[in-house]
Amino acid sequence: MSLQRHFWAMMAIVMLPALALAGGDAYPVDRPALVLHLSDNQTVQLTLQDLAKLPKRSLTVQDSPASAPVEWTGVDADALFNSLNLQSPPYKLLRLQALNFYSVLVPRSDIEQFHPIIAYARNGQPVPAHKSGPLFWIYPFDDYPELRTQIHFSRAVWQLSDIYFE
Amino acid sequence: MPALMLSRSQKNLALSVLVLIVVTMLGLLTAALLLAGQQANQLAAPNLHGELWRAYQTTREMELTLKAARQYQQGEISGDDLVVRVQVLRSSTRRLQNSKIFSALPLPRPRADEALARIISLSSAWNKQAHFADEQAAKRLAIQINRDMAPLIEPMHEVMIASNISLANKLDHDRQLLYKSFRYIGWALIGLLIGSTLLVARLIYNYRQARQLSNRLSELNHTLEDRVAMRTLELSEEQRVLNQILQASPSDVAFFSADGDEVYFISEGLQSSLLSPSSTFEYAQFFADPADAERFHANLINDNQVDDLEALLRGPSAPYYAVISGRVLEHKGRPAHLIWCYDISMRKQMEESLLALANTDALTGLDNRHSFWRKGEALLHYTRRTEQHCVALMLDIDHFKQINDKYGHQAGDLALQKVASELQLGVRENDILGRIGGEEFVVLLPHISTEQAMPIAERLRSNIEALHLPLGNGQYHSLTLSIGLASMLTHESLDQLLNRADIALYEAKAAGRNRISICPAPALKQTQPLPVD
Repeated sequence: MSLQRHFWAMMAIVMLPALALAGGDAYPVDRPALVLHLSDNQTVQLTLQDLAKLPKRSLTVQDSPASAPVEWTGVDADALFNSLNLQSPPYKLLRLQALNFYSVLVPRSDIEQFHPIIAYARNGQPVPAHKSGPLFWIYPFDDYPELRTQIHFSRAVWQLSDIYFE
Repeated sequence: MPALMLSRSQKNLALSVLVLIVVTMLGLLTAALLLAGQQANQLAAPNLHGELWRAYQTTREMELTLKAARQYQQGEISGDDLVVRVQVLRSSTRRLQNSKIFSALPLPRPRADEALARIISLSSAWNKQAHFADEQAAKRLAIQINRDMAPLIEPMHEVMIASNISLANKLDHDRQLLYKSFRYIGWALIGLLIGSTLLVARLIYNYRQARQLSNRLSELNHTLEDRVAMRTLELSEEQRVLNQILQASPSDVAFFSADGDEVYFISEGLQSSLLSPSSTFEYAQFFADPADAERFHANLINDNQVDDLEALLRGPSAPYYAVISGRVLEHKGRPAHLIWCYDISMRKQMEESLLALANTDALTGLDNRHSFWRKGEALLHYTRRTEQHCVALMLDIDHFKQINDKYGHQAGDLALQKVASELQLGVRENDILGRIGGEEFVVLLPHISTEQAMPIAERLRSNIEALHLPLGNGQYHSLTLSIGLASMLTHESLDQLLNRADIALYEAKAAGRNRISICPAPALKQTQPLPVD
């Protein structure tokens, strides 16, 4: 039984109003937030500023019928990779890694089929690291009900920091 | 099979049991559905049993943060890097905050609680002090972390153990719940299976019973038809036997509607004589005398029955006497008359011959004294009423005793017969002739005077004189007759009249026989002079 339930745990946390008193700073927009490790040992560092310059894409996700829908805003992963001309070295897998060193493997078909986004805003607001920010790997769960299994829940990584192309 | 037939109360009981089964099944089904729905709802969302993982991650993050603090103090990483680690640690402890990580522990573990509370509070405080691009704050943080974090690493092992036990218990609790649910649903399904089996059995039973019933019904139908046919045959046979009996009966029977428009039965004897071709019955045709017909019909209507009425019926050829009885019955829903009659014409004949025998002199065939007297009285009565004349002749065979003595009684009888037949031939049709003694005869001549009677008397006398009595041996014996004549007087009785004729007869005898003597007026009138003829 998988113990990796980042996504749902994160949802629960984010909604706790008690956390409003937290005094931690927001993640600096000019500090590298995401590192892409290309297959030829090249890396591409992206700040929140860099990502904000790219075309935006939003997804609405409702965790359960009882909860309020959440709007995630970010960049389309596939579009991001394309804009960096990363298509030439064909990759089969992505290894997504978080600030807490959680990692997960994502097949290329996920990107092509479901078009997940790298979100930097939740309901229009950036999310600090102590609240599981600043970046989230989000699938369009509402558009594809078949994604609502532990496989894709565990692939929805928060505190996303590194993407390895393998 | 009657054994299969259930009584009413048994049927009611069976029905109640079935209804109970159905209701129970519905209840079971509803409960099972609710339970299944509940479980499905729970299973629709992924399980949130991430306590152990969160405990591990926090422990790991504590180690990383401690390492980052030391690296910062040695100048290996920037202050911002340390801030990121502190924030990440805080994000990790947030998930332990308010989470019931040890909720399923059978016994509380205070050391674990204590360690958890301590790291939550520390990380929260550090997070508040951590600021990007603030080297002073980073230095203070690094010192604090170095000081406070190291002693917490070891107690976190206790947190891991506790959360593991708690999680294991929680999972087992879930397992037990699931197990119970499935067991319950399983029992419900077994209940449904049993109930359905009972219902199906009941349906099969009902179907078979209905089929048996229909078979029995059709069988019954056949039997009924057979019985009706047999009964019809029996009835027609009974009818035939009855007809035979009635036909064989000495009585003639007729059975017909009261109106006579429909004849149900009629004996052959009556059939030929009575029935018109239209097959109706009419009393007027049945009785010879319409008065009898009316009387019989009236009595039958009044009393509903008539017994032994004697009447003359129209026979096939000639009327005959019969005793007729009748009853009013009901047939085919309407009143009907049953009459039966018995031919008594033979009895009537015998009666008549007996009567004749009683009034007739056996030897001569003439009226005897009694009969003559009755007829004579009637004649005299009639003559008196019509004020007409009447003459009596008293006749006696002369010397009859000698014939008897000389030739025997047979000759005497023969003589009497001969004389009688001669006298019969000699008198008129309306005259009354009788033999009133041994050789004595008498004649009453109505509507006639003495003068008119005389030639008749003379004819009788001469006829006898001319008569020769054969004696059987070729010889004949002659006979003579003495006659006394008396004419009826007003108010004279037959006795008196014959007395006077008798007197005249004695006169004739005394005067020498074979002659006629006339009795004069009665003795009390003899004093008056006789009218001279």
